Amino acid sequence: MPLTDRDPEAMLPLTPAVFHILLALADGERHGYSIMQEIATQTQGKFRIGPTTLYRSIKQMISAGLIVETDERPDPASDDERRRYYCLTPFGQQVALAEIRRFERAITLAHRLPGLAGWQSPLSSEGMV
Amino acid sequence: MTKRTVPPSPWIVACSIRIYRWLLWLGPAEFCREYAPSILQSFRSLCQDTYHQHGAWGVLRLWLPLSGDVVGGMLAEHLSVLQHPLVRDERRRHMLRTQRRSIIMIFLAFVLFGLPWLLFQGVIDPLSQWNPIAQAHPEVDILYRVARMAGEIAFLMLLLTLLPILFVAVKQALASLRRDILTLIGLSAIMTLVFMVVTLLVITGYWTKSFDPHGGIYAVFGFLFVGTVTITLSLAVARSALSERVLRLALWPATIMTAAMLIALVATSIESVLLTSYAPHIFGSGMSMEVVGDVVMAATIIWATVALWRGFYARQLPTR
Repeated sequence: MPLTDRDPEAMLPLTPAVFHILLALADGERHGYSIMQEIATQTQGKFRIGPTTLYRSIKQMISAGLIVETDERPDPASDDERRRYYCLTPFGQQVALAEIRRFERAITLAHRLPGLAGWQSPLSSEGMV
Repeated sequence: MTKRTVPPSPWIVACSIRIYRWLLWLGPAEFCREYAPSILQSFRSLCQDTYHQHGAWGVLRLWLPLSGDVVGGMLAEHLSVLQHPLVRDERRRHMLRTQRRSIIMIFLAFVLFGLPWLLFQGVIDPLSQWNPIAQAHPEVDILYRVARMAGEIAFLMLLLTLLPILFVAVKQALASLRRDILTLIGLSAIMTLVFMVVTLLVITGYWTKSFDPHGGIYAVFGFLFVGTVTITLSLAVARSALSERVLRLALWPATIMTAAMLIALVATSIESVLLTSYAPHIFGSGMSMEVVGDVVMAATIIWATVALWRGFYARQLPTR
């Protein structure tokens, strides 16, 4: 079956490593170590990923059609030619958006539950929403 | 490109990289071959950055989470390899099936290409009619020779494609006592032998003088030979458990064969156009046959190219 015909919802839920790799690649292609750094930056150091977990996830994501290895180098002159760069596929973008929507639905539900009456989004407490 | 000099790593970084490299080889060989250099490169960058920010103590502290990451990750990778043998086997079977089909399609394409090509080769018959045209228009003669040579190269490449495959198929069939494969290849070999003997009789003149003055029986026998060999060898290849290496290797001479077929088509097409203006009488009433021949040859080349593409990209093709 062509990858574009696949249902992104069928890939959910994603593991934290896969989800954060998708987010790290959302603004363009990156090499392995750059993905690790971006994940640490995006999560303020609360979620770090080791090189082995990173490449195990990359292997799974490539076979699932979420990301692809690219041949182009952002800056070939200053870059190590052995580095392998990865970028999101359109299906990978759809899966990331589907996972974000799933989180949004969970947050909406959490607001309505009486047992979680005192619950408040960390984003709203920081004045971000 | 300027070559960058890499500064020597501090001992703690060099030592960590060495230990990490050893640990990486705990993983499955296939995973290590594909990803170990990249994992090690990321680990090296991480160690160097940590050393510059936090010194040797920072690198030592990295080991607490990363030893679990590498050892646990490699064991998990072994588990995933063990968990999915059925999926892997199915994918592999599908890939090999696609490659075998590609070889058979290429073989059939050549057989279909060969018939109109032989028709074009008959354009020089009789020589008394051909020689004055070839002398007056040497470019036509050159094109004829190019088409002939390209066809012969294509045939040689077909042999290079099929013979190693048949050798391996026979070897495997003998080892596993696959009588069906041995019968198919045996039938093909007997038919080839008989056809060679008959051809020898035709060449010596005994066949035509004795009972087949117009060569009609020989022509029917030729079609029978081509049909039998094509069917039996295709079935034998389809039933054999050939490895990916053997099948992929066979695709290279098949690529040259397809290119030679294309050259033969271009040469015969130009030759036909030139002959139409220089000596229209040479085709007689068979001009439409020439056009049909060109179309068939072009169709078989497209067919062979698609089969080649499927063979080379069998690994990436989705399983149904």
